[in-house]
Amino acid sequence: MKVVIIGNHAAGLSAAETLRKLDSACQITVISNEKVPPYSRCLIPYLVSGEKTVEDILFKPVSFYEDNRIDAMLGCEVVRVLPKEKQVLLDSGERVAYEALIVAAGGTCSMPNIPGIEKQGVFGFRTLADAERIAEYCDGVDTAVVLGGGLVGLKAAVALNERGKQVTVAVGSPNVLSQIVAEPEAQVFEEHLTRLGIEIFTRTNPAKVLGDEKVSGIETTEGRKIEAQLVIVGKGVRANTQLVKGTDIQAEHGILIDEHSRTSVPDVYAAGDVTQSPDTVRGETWTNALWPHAIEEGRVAAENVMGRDTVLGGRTSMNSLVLGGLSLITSGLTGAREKLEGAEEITRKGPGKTDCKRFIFQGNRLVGFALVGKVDNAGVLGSLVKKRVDVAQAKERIVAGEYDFASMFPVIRDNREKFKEPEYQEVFGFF
Amino acid sequence: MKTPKQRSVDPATVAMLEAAASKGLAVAWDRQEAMEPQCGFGQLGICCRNCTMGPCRIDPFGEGPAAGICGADADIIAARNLVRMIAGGAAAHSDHGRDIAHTLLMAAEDEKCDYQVKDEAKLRALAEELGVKADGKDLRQIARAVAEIAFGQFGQQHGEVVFAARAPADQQKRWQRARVMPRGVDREIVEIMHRTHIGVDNDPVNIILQGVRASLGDGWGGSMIATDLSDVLFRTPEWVRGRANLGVLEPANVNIIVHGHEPTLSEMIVAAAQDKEMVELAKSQGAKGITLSGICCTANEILMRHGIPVAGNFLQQELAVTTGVVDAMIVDVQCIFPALGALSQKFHTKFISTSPKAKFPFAEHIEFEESRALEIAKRIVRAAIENFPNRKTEPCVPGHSNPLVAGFTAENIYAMLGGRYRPSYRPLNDAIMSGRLRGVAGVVGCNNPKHRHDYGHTEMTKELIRNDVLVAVTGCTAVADAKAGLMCPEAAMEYAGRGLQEVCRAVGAPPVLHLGSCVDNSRILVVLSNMVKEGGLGESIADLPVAGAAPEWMSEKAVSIGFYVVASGVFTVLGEPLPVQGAPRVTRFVCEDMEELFGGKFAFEADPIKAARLMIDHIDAKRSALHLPGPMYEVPYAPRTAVEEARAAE
Amino acid sequence: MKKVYFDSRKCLGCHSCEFACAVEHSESKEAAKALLEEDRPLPRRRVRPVEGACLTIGCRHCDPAPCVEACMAGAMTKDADTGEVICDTDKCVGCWMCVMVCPFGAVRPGEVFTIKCDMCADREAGPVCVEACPTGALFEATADEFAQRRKAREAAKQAELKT
Repeated sequence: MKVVIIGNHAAGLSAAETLRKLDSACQITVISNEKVPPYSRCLIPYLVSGEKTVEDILFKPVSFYEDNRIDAMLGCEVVRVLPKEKQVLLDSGERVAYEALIVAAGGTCSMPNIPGIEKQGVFGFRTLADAERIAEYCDGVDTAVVLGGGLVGLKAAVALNERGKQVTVAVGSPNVLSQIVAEPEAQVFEEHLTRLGIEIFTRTNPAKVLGDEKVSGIETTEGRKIEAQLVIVGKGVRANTQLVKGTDIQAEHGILIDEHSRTSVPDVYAAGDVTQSPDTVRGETWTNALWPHAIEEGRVAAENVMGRDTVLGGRTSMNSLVLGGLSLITSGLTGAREKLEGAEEITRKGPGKTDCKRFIFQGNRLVGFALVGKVDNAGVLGSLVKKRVDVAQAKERIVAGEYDFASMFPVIRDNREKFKEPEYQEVFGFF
Repeated sequence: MKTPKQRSVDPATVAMLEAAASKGLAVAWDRQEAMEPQCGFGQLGICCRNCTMGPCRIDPFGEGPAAGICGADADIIAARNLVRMIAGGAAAHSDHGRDIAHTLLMAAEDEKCDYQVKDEAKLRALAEELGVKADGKDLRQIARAVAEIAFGQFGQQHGEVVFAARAPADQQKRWQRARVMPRGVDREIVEIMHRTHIGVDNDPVNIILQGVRASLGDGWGGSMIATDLSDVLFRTPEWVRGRANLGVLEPANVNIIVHGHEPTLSEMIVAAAQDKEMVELAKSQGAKGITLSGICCTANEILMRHGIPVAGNFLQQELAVTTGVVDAMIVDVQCIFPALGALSQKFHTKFISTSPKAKFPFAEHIEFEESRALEIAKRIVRAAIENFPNRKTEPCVPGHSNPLVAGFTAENIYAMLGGRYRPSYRPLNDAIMSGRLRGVAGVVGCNNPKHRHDYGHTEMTKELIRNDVLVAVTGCTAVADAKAGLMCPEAAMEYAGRGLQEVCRAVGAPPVLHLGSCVDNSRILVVLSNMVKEGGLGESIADLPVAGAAPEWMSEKAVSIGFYVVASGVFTVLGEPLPVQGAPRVTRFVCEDMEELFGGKFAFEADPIKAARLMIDHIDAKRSALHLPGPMYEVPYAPRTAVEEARAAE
Repeated sequence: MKKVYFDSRKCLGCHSCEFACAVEHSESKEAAKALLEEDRPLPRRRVRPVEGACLTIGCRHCDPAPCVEACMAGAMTKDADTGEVICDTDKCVGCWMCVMVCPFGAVRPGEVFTIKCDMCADREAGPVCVEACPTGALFEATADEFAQRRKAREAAKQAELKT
């Protein structure tokens, strides 16, 4: 069996590792446009802040490909998937044949289409190369603007802040992190970031990038000028669906996959940020560009390639973010604009100044939560969300902050048909 | 997390729990929940810390250690732990008694003393009982002689505690036979500490018998001295009207709460708070007047003698502060939460400790000295008044308080039943013998956040009086029943069975008689002895159709009380089990074997209705043993058990 | 591999397992000294009430382990031989992705890095919680041993019901 994997990050490597574990004989080829050892994308802010080196952020050993007998074609760009020929076409014109293909090609930073965006000192923030370039450019820079108040933008802002830069964040939405939190949590974070010395402008969009060759600032749509010697763009990520364009592989915001990580074309699987995959809470497919989903989709794709009938577990959006020591964990439908019909939102503040919890119920189901500050036991709640459990009997306890496993145990036991994993059986067994 | 309604049946408490929660304040119930699960070894009584070879503990499931390092098994360990609890309880009551005896001695020696004998009749009766010859002695000299005999009881090394002679002869014989007749109050407590030291007494039954002895030294010694000498000094209570619950706090007034146990302090605070100069001072600070109220047994002491309102029982101490209108919480000893200190800091409340024996975190200590009693009491009251303008939170006083009649004693029950000119226990005994009254029950004890607050007290009381059982109460039970409206004469019509109604109507009494504080359980012993002496109901207390209960107990004092009551012949049901259930032999001894020795035994039952049934069944068995007719009016067996109640609440 | 299992019927809620666990994961590994340590030692398992009974829960060393899949630092790994899920605290960056996905709440955010059961890696005698449990409510067993024990318990339960 010859399996080709496009992409060498979370999803791609998870797939590769699983394939090798299941079959010591199969031929595995990993193709990536990045010519680097397997690093963790989520940790690149640490390179900017200077806390870690490239070596520190490797999430597999450098010898990973060798150890797993993987043919790594690094620095090669796949330009098109050719499902009819069962080949992929590289930018060099070379074609690579496959028996099974796993597309884990990730995404690309969306750069706003404004004048001056090409100037020196304007960076996207997704790859190791981006981070290294920013880190290098940083020396001699005092002021920076981050465009976008999402996860990537704020992580970049904090990293630059830790490096001693004067940072301004320009956020288009009324609040930071609007994709994953609503006003109460956003406020806590805005106050926290302000305390760290980061300036935040909400409802602020860039009109153009100022400067000659090098960037000197930005001008907003309202005409306000913000001085900056460095601009980082964190305005979202586009799934790299262009490589399946014109094929029968269906894609919307991402390549559509089913619960077996299969695309609409036989022998072609997809995994990671490039996909649009089932979301059990939303009840439709969604582009949840999340590390744990990428790993799971990669594993499930590989297992199905190997003829095992495994499926993705219950899943939905979830995020864990730590900014300057303040933690946030969210799961489910927590975004500012995600208003569900008949949903009931309950917010609880305290005991500490930065502690804030918001729970979203729809009927008797918990469909989302956001925890700021104290995040213990978030996974217990998360399991109730993604398994769509009726939590009527435990609603009061959840809202009171009592959602440790023992407190939720009666609910879990009463819904045992949804908790089939052997680890739950171990607990049920002697209770 | 339990809801306020699951935590308490008292509406004022429920309201204040809601208020406390909204203010983010943690109270005893919250701390109890945080403590869960509570350690099973402690609950079962099978861990030992008496020496540093340990700590040791026994595996009740039989796989782990069956004996401690010294070889003590579960029974030895549980017995030792149990009697150390008795030692603690007996010490608390008796040390209280000692302070009263000391005060009487001071009063006798100094005519300028702020304390003086207020009840000459009781003093003379006591003197006669104690063999003090009145010939030629003035009142002061008699008081001195009585005080010295009382004082002597504590350190007595030989013979018998003097008030043991009040018990029916048959009961005394039982004690002598079991070799548990208490010699001196302190001696028995010390002997417990000796016997439970590593390597001394290792026979579980022998250990517990010493516990029985110490408890009898409490009930028929230390506690009885406390009650009788308090009556001499501060007057024997008479029927008195009062009110109970947090609603007695008056936001416009200076509110002073006395909390704790000994009447020496509270009597003087009562005097100081009624002083004209103090009332004027209060007005000058913008208050309308002064409201003095009590919590725990101090409340019962000053209610019984002065009709001072009761703010609440044990579990309401924190809630009182939470109202934001308490200008001073004045405490002496026993059952005072150290949590009050930090809580008071969140309000303007001055938390004032007064006893050199009891200091608290965040408390202002104004030491009370009996020799300068009124002066210090005034200083304390002044501090409270001057704190009135410092209130910083919106008043949050629940509008609940109930009227009550209190002030019953072994002495005035004579008068109540026989009339002023023919005082006698005859009518009480006759009512029981005819079956109009089925029997008498003592319901006493504390609050315990493991149990729904006041639920055990009030439901048990209601079930007993519904079955024509006259109920005598003390301590926190009394406050619970008062708050539930069971302590006014009208309550008989609403709650009592027909026979008890008839008795209550005839004498104008409530169906539930308030006999005072927890040391005043000694009054119940005297009442029972008097019933035996009156005749017709057997030869000893063990023969009487009576039963006891402590539905919500928590303290070591309650263990001591339980043991002296059981050893005096009374079947007693505890809502919270004694911590002995990991020790089968000890459990069997206290729940079965004690009956053969003393006529009384323990039972454990958390459901107050089921517990009341156990008591009524016991009363009926005693009735038939005495060949008495069945109850005059049968009552259908109907009420819901606690489990059904909880289900209904859901 | 062996795992730590729990029999609620035998648990008395004494918290000895919690206590021993915290001490084992302290600098000094001595109770009295551990209390004074600057980095407060934290237990990797908790005893909590469930409807009047007790439940103590620690890492189940799941397979597949959500925390391993969620770890973006490559710190959380599952040992292929022992099945143990171990956090390499040198690699852990404290992003709490593992906290987000642990369905048992057995992976806790510490001051700097994740805190979870490591099966008492430093201890030859095996997990200290098992040893500290005075009633055998916590026990170490292979999956087969556990299944047998569970069967025996079910049988005993049935027999009890009949009588």
